[in-house]
Amino acid sequence: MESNELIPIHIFHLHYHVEEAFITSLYDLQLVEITTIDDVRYVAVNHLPQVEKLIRLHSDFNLNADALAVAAHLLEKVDNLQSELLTLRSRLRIYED
Amino acid sequence: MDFIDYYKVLGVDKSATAAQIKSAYKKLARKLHPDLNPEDKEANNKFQQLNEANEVLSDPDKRAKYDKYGKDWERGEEYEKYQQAQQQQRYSQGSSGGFEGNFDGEEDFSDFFSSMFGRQSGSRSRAQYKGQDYNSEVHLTLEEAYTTHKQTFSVNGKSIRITVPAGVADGQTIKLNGQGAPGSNGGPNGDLYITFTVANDAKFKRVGNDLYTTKEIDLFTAVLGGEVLVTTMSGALKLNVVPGTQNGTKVRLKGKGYPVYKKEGEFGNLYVTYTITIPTNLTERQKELFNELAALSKKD
Repeated sequence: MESNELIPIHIFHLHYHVEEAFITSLYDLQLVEITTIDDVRYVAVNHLPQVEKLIRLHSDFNLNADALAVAAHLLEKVDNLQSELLTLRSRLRIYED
Repeated sequence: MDFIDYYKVLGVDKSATAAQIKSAYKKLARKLHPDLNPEDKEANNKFQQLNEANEVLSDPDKRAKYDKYGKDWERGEEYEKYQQAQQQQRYSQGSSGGFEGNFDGEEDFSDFFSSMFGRQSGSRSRAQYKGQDYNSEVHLTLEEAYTTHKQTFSVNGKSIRITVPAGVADGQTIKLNGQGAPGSNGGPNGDLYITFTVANDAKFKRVGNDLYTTKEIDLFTAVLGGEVLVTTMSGALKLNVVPGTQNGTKVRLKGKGYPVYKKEGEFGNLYVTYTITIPTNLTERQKELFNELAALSKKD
């Protein structure tokens, strides 16, 4: 991965006002992926939307990392159910039309 | 520009205390937060109104102004400006303690809010955040989505030209990085999410990458076998009908279905269901022959 596709974790503190420990706790719960190069820990740019979402939920609702893990799991389930719903709707249309 | 009843938005009485307003806001925000309602435009719009309502009603000065002018806010604003000019006083600003994030940038406030409180009143010192994400819908016919093509459409007054890859699914959302609203405090632009609606057509029904169609064949071809022309998305195809084909028989044409999204040269299957048409308005001679056939069948 190119270095310009990685964001050092310590920068998160400056931009999002969250402690590095918070990002580490997200990593411990497998909610974000962290890449370590020369002892510097990074988050890939393509994972940024997911990290930003977790930071928003953390700051907006005062959710800790465990609660975020539950929310992320449920949101993933909703996402899967929505995909399934779309497939079933298109299948149903065959018989309705 | 429509008047927005912020009390109604928050579901509180006009006499609600600051604590009641805060509580109502938090309760509704938990329900309508965009991260918890992805791709739900209605929830996103309601969340925007909710933020506005909180911005105004949680700030005593803004609330007083809102309560004072109410539905007459348009005229009230003019009067306010006049008074401000006379007294050379600046309107005080302050934080309302609302939710931060990429949803409450000043671009998110309604025209009503901006007219009453000004575009800057919603901003405050905060972290850099990505701009608001935009959502848009693009409607395609089954034929259009069959091939990779360019499409131009307008989002928030901005013309955007995209390449729609063949095989895009009904309800599928793609993301265009950086095509959303500008970021706040130097943050990156938001993204544009485009959801495709692909309509089934009269001839083909689509399930995933497979297509379904029906083909009428006459009784004689069904009984004796023969050849029929079947229309596929890529042209007509000659099919052999085996003798004794039953009504509702389904045949699979491998690779004649819909293109697989972003996998060039890969296609789903086409399923053809035969419906056998029974001849009507028979001539006397035909009736005679059918009777003869029926008699023969009974003997067997």
